[in-house]
Amino acid sequence: MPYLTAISLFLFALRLGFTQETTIKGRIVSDREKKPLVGVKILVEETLKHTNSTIDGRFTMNLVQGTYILNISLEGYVTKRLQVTLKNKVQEIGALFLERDIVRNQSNNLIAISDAELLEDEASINNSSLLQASRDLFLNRAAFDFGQAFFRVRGYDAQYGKILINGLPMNKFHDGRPQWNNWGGLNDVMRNQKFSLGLQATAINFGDLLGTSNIDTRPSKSRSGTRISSSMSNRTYAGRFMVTYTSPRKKNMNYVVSSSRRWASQGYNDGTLYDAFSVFGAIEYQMSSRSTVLLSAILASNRRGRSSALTEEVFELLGRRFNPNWGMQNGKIRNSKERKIQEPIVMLNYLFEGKKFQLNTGIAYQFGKHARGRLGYYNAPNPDPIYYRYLPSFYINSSIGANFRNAEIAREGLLQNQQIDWSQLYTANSNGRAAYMVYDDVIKDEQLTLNGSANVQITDFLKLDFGVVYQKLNSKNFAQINDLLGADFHEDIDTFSNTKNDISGNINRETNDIFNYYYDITASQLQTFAQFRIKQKKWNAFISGSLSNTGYQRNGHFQNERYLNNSLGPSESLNFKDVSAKMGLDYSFNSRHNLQLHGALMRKPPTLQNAFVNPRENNQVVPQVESERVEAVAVNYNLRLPKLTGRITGYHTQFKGVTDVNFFFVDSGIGSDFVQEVLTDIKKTHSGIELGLAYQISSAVQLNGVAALGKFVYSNNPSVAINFDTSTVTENGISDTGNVDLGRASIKGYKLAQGPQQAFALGINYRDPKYWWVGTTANYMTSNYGNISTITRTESFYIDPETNAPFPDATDENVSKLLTQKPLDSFYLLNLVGGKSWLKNGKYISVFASINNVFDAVFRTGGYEQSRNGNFGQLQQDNLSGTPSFAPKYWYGYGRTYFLNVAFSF
Amino acid sequence: MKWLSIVLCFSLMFGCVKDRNFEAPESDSCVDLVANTTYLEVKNLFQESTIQIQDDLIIEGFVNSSDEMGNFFSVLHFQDRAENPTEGFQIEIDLRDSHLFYPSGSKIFIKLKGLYLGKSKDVFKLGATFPSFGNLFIGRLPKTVIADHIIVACDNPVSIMPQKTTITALEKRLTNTLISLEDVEIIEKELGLLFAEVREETERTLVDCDGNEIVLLNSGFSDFQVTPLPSGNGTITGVLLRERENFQLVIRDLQDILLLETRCSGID
Repeated sequence: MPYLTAISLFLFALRLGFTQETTIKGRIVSDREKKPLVGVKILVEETLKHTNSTIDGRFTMNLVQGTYILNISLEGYVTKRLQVTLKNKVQEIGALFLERDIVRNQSNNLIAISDAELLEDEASINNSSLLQASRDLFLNRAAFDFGQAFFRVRGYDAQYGKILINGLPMNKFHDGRPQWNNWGGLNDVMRNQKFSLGLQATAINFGDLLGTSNIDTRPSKSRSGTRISSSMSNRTYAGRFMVTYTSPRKKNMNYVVSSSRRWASQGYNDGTLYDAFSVFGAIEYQMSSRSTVLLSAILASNRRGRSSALTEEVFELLGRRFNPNWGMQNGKIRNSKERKIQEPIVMLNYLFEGKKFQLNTGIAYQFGKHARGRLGYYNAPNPDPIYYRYLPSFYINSSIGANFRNAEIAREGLLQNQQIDWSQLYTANSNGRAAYMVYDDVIKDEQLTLNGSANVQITDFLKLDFGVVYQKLNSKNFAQINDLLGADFHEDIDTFSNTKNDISGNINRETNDIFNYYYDITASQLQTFAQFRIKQKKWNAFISGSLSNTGYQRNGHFQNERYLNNSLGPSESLNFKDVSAKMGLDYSFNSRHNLQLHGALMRKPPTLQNAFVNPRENNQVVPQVESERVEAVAVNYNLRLPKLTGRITGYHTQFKGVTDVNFFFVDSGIGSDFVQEVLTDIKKTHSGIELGLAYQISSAVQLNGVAALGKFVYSNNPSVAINFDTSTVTENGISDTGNVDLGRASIKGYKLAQGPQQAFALGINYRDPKYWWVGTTANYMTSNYGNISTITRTESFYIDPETNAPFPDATDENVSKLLTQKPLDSFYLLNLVGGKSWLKNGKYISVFASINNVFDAVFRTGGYEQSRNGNFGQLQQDNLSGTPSFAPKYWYGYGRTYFLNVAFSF
Repeated sequence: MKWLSIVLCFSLMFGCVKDRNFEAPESDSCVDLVANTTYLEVKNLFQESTIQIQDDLIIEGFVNSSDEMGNFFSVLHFQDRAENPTEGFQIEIDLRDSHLFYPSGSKIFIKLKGLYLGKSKDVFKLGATFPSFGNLFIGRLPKTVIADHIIVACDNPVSIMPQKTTITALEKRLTNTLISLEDVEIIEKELGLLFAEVREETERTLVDCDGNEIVLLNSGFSDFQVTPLPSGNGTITGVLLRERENFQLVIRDLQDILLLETRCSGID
């Protein structure tokens, strides 16, 4: 009998030993203020069990005895990973301290936008601003380090990243991209961003190829109190001052106001002024614990002086900071190419967050003006100081023989007279007629956006998400006279063809008059999506589908002489119906290894700028215009070892049926004219690998490395057609019909101009317990290509316009010598960041500093071939000297720049 | 207290950036220099071939040509006085629409140091150079240095009085000055033709009632190229050019040519 008891007691003990439940308790406290933190997520990595800390920072979890890694995280704080061994019945692990994530908070202040963005119709906007919200190591490097060189994640254009504010999409109809300047300077209130990379499922929107970011402006989600920050820099702006006040946390009503000012008389590039201010306000009324009404208003006004891409010849003579668009007037810098964006947004949201049902609805109204200034010249010499005829190369490339003495005179003259001579322009205008004037290309938009999305927990493993978005845009586009520069009137005729721009209006126009062109575009889109998400212990899966219906129409207000029949009135109404689907599978082998597979088939309508051939002139739509099709697959592998975390991704994406419209003057094999080049049936392939690894050497030191290996190429030969007006009676004009099909451009295999296709970074971060930190990254970027001219890769390139027969010298060997794509230079960049914070009398002071490109390396971020030399003979002739007159133009990256920020929070 | 500090911070939003409104330039880009030499002295510097002027010489003149109608191109012709000039001169420049900056009648100063002086078909020219068969000829001055060499005086433009003369009285000294010829007409066999052939420099012939002829030179790129030649008799004003022994008259615009009277032969 005692044996039985002993055995059963033993067995009982054994049983308890194997499966003995334990309760783990703890308290999460902030490191500096020593205050308890609520809402901290405590996750047991091995079991994926999790809980949240209560208002006093406490948490409790029941686990089987054993060893676990606790992952403790809270937005704005450094995630802590703690190994615990549970033996006793109740384990009290005491207070756990979480540090403020000053690295990320401060990094949010970094500027990622640069000058190249300001150029028209240029695909040089990168997507780094989208990525600042992410914690992913690779994406952080892409934003803060590679961003200087216009690196694009997976080579995707910014239009493939969906930006939402409170669930409402912000991407523009014009080019599909988000306009970051619409909420620039409001970093404090735009800080709360949820980013999902790539084709992952997002709860409130179908999403897009690159990822989705939703900015939540609710005051209740951010720290209450006041924050004042002041910054100094030599990048795009010189100084910034920002103030934000969030009301103390109340049960019903919370509000936040924020305001900032950014300024510079000159940024890194000469003559680039910066004049911006922003104001933001949001009021949140919590009707109940689950219902919220949110009213937000954003006004970001941004005025900047622009620079231009430079040929190598100009770069060698005048340096990388050179900007041809400005000159002194009355002792002040005057930039002829200013850009001003002022498009305020008002937004009203209703949010419901129940246990099994969430609802996000909203309505936003945006209006305002986007104006781009230019210096026009009419029957007068080109005022651009680096116009090709004023450069030394013009005299060297002269068809009657190189003139070296004149080239030398021109060179010395250019070094003495580098900028626009404004007083000369006023002199030329002294007869009344404007030979020169400053005018704006204006876009005045009014857009209404409506959004509603819902999430339903159908069973405890199945969730349904669905939603609908409706957008309606009315866009007014016109040119407007800004400054007649001392003249009395402007003659509104096209000086190249001597034809009227507005037959029914006065020829003579004055300041603030609309001239040249005036048309409206109405665009609307209705998009619905539905998504199922399945959640199991080791795996998740989702499948989503989306339907969209998009419409575009142009309405011309001016009848011009060049297109008498199709410039005035409405165009045909374009309509695109598109279906998209995506799905994914997420499998966790255990807490340390996770694999994700994603696939998508998407159809997107062409953006407005690629739907009409020449909307300033006529109603013509791109022939056989179609939606583009995207086929994408991606595999992600996530690693989470105690000291080593990382991700490796492989992706392969194909774009088909892409359209592009370009404008330039060309001396082609079949004649010379200003043309609109329409490319259709373009196919592109983006494939590659992304790798990010972080190794925690000690609790203070982290070593990390990132690699992006990509290949972005044209995967077919697209169709090229050129359109031009036939009113110009020139001897070597192109044809009478106004439109020529040039066949296919032989560009299959040519690399896309989407930033460095390969990038590597190695970094070290040190976080000192005394609240200061430093980090450095060494970066290497390569395989970057400029934009190619497609017209020179058509058959017409071989034709001599004088004889209408192929050039005898145009052998394949000679042609490929001229047309082979050459990469831009590879380069190394060293970046440093660091900061320190103090807590004094409940006031929090932090300092952040960053130096980019410590060694002042000279590098190019992108560029484009000029299309002027459209035939073999002319291109060959121009290149003989080594300094062609129509060489490719490049943007140069910034040299050594700094950014310093001091912030007070209380 | 909190509100006060916030308001204070807002009002401290300093950082002024110049707005977009600019007043017209305060000082005109005119300068008043002093000429220190004459055209003849400059022309005497020429030896056998094109030379570069090394001394700080400054000449002044009155522009008498104009490219507004396209009959002149990439050149400025000027004379030493607005009335009764003693000498004329010309400078080749790589500048189109020069009438906007150096209109006919404006007074200019030319800083000669660094410019080249040459002679082509017995006429002196200033400018830069272009090489041909191992020799240096006068070429167009690159645009970037034109404003450094040719400076507009602060005087208002004046009306240049053309010198009244006759075809037989023409002399080399009058080259590059503004003259007017009375009682001339287009020769009969050219009546009905256009001022110039498209894109080609065209010579037409003017004749006085004594049968003396002079070439009227018109550009095929001028605005009045398609206009038919006037058939009457009258006064023509123009810049007198020369190629060796042959004189040519070049008008600035159609106001220079007033042939409304009866022809020498009595026909209108």
